[in-house]
Amino acid sequence: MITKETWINGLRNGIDTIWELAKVIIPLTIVIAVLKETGYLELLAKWMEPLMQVLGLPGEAALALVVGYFVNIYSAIAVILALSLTVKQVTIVSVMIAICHGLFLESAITKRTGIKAWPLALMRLGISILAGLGVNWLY
Amino acid sequence: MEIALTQVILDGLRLGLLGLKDITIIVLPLMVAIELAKDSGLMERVTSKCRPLAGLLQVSKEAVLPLVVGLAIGFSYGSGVIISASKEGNLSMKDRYAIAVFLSICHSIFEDTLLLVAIGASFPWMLGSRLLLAFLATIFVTRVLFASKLDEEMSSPVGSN
Repeated sequence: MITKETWINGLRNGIDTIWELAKVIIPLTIVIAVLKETGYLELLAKWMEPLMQVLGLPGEAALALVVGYFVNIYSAIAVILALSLTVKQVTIVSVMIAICHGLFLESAITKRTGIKAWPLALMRLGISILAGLGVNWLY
Repeated sequence: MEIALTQVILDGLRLGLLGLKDITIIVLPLMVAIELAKDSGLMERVTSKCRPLAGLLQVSKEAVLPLVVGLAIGFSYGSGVIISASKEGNLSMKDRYAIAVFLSICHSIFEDTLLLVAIGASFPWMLGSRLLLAFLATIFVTRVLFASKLDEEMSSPVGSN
């Protein structure tokens, strides 16, 4: 049954989500802007470049992947916003992150269903990398 | 130096706010739409339309509801449905693994996909690649890993082990 509550709940969920995002995105975009300016991001980028090249990504995109894999999609979004990537590169990172993110939190949820969490997490990581290679190749 | 740092911080703030603006335009209507879909009984109707998927994925009919709910709304909500379905004893181990594999690759399809589309990713690529890989991985699990004996050995309701 759709009632007034339905609309209120929807709006409340929306505002909650945006608030959660804002708490992550605003500090992170500022931190990354500072890292960029001070040259630390470039250092990381140089270091990760050989690996990221295989995926058609610049070295600094490694930060988005690591943050997305182990923290959550929200923080990966902040990193993507702060880097200047092409549409193809954003799509590659996004597909990889959408498949595999928040490994710690989501593994905890998986366990509650009575299923071993680590093989599932490894599978997601593997499929995420395969998907990245695939999108880079086919896009 | 002081001024330069302030400028950098302001630039970062601006990027973050602009991104949030794009996300708000998508997330607010989306959350209302999801709530409407939940309360209108749309999920149940979609689920009955999706019954044929049970054959393709080689899962029981009871597994389709958690799959559809998790796919549309989210992993934690979906596993809530799995947990309650498991307690009722309707889901075999094979079903549970199939649901977990499918949903771990592809869940909250609207929210996750649209958030990333809001910041510039291509929508068809996002949607297509995740769905395809979730189907392939699940079919592999149910048709190869759980092909024969394994299922009988491992199928028992959650309460009894």
